[in-house]
Amino acid sequence: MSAPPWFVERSAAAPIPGWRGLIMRQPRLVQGIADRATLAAPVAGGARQAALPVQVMARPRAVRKLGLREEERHRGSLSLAGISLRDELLPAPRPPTSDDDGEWPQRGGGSAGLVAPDADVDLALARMLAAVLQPPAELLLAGEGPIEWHKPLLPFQLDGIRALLDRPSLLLADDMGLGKTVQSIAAIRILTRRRQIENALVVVPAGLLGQWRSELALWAPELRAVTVHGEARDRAWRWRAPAHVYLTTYETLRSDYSANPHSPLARTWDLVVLDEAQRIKNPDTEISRVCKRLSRSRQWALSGTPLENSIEDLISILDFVDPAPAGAGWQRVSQEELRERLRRVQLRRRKSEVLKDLPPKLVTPVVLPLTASQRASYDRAEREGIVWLRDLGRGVRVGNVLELIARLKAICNFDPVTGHSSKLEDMRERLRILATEGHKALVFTQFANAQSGARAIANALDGHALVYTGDLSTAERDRVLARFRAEDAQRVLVLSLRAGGQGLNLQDASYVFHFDRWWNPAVEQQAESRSHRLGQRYPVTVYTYTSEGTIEERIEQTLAAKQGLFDQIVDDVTIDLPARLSGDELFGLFDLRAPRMQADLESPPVPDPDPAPARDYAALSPEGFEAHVGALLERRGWRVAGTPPSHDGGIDLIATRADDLGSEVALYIQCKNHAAPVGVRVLRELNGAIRQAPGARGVLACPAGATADATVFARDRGILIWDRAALAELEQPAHS
Amino acid sequence: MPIPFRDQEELEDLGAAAFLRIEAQANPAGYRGALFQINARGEPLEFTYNRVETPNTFLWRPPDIRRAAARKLASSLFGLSPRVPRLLLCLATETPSELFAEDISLTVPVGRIAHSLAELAPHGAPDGLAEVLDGPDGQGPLHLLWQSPPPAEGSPERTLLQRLATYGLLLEPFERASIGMDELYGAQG
Repeated sequence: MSAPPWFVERSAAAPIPGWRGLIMRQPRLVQGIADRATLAAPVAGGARQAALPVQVMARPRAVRKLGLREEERHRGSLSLAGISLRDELLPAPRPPTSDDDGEWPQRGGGSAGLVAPDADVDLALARMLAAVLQPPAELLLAGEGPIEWHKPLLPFQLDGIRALLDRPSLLLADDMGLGKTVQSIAAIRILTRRRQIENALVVVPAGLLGQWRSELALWAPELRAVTVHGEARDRAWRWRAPAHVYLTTYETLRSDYSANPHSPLARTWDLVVLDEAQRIKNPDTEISRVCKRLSRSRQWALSGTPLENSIEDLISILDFVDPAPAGAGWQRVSQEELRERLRRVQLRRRKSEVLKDLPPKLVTPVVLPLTASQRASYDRAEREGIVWLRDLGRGVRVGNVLELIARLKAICNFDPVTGHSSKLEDMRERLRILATEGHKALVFTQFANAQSGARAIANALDGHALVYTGDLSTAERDRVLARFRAEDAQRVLVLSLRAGGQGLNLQDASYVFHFDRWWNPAVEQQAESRSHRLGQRYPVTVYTYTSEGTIEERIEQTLAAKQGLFDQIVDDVTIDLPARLSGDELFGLFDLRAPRMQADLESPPVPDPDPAPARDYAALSPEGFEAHVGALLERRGWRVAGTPPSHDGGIDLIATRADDLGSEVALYIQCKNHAAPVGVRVLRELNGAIRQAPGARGVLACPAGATADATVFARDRGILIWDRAALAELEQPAHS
Repeated sequence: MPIPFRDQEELEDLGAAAFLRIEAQANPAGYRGALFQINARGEPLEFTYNRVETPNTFLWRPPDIRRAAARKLASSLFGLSPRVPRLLLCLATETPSELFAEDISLTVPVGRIAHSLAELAPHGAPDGLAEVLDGPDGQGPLHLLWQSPPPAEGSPERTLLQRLATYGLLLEPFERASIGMDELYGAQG
């Protein structure tokens, strides 16, 4: 036996003599026996000591607790470094018994549930000890604890992090600007360091990628994070790169998801985080379905406005955070049950409650008359529009009304004939004064174009404004934000509401202008919170422009009437107004009555259940059909390229475009203009071709539809089937 | 296969700190001990444990029993542990000073920690160099008495100690070691 080199017993005679009365004796101590873990564990630097004399003692509590077999574990040494404590590895805890001393901690929170009947005892024991010997969360959250935090965390943020650590499912619905991102990153960091998770998938809007990257670097510098975005060929290897955090966008996730078990996204994620989770508010969208299909152990949804429009928004998010038991969808529960469930999974704090020192926000409505030329253009457009709607008769659709409204709202911004704008004149003067006082301002508009939107505003401000819109690449967006924050000369940032209204931290600005009104004040409040958030030092002033005697005024009045109804639905969520009005209400804006026969009036994106064929596809040759599908896509902004006849997998067209959030999307399209439904063989071929092009989405264009087998095959692999109904939708004008 | 953190190399360079815990237990009469090793961030690396049963205490002076038990426990724990720490810390209140002064010699720096000098040397001036370190919030300073030559300034041992002090990890790991023994043996031993 050779002792390890780092200690030496100084005397060979171990016991120390002791006297009691007239007898001197040496105490004989009985040690625990060596256990299997001790003997089996590798020993660095020499052989392990042999077992000492055996004396059976009472069963250690651990053995009782593990409930495995009668085995003594009185001494041993267990390596705890790097032991995974992922929930996935921990079987569900068995119920407590009278032998458990009344303690049986819950899953992931301690030592329970660590052992399956057939599990390896040593690993189970090591895992149990590793769980209880991790640094306590309170120590890790302490300002001067073993984890350095970029800045001191505020008390309400610490509460939020504790909630995230304790709950595998949470809807963090704090007011905008309270640091949901920071709380999430801090919780991810602690969970990862404590080995409770090994990987996390964070899905964010494309515009927030840069911000998340920066926050991760600041708040979890030792974690390895990979951003999965951009070119399809890069994304393929990024998904497979070893990392603790995979950061991606909703669009990329939608493009890259496949149920194929070999797909990197088909793994079981220890944690999935959805930032701005209202992106999945519509359960019928593909991204909503993809997010809910992700295999995961924990799930957090972050949203300051989980209920923007209707209770269905919330239900859809809950379906991700807290899926209802099979067959018991949340749609079927009462409103009270839903509220009760929400109380259990939602954490929401208001700025006014937790940030008492946050400067106030003052909202000032500015109602302006149109300029004379704007009024003339507006009245003419409205007159002609109403006539147009009437002429459409029973064929009129909600999409037609929306198109007219968009046209009128654009005129409220800028006269298309003269370029005059009463809003701009007012705003220019206000900005001039603000500039002299050294303030910075944000200007939000729903339009991004150069005629009536963000670019028009920036151009009209003599080029002294920066523009942030969805068509900028992620790198360009980051540059714009960096310039706005760093350069004193850059005092105005014009943002499209969609690209810049969520998630950004723009506390450098203390003035916010809403150049036009969005359908939903919750969205406007999100935008205002870019400035009115943690870190803001000045009172925030918000100006909302409304053109007098126009559609803007009428929309506002109609939507305001609905506010009360939505306030009742979710207690703590400041629900505002619906993003869309009913068909009756939309038509009512023009004193028209909605036709009764269209099932799609209430929900424009839903196609007719049995639409009339837009074309007689049977009359087209295969080449003609391909050309037609290509033309439909080009009309919607896709770049379409044909492929040689010998292209693998029978791919006929490849359509690409950067989506409106900057992520590249590619469709591999197979055109089958057959008289009968297409079978699964064709789809297998297509699927094989897609696997050679990571990130690409497969599409089968087939007016006759697909067989049941083929439909199931396609659904499981995320392949789109464009049957007659889907093609009819494509035939519609792009705005609908 | 766990993915290494970006600070892994730095933590490995700093090495492990060992916390020796020896506690008396009532039933069966004896002592239980743990050598708990952590890295500079307080993350557990190794847990070594054992216990000894003491004979009828009527026949022996309690200090003798305690010293013999501490010696036997400590030497067995050191022998069982496959990992050699950068330094070892123990509590003055539960580890007799003779243990490292007379009974066992370590090649790594050994420090006894106490809230006061009186705890370090109940019968007079401490036999060695005592340092004063920042204790956890609200608990006053801590006194550290080296039972071997103190680590030199700039040495990895000193850096590790400073890191532990900065992170509030001079006393807290002893509590975890005790929790670990509770898990293994039960709260009553």
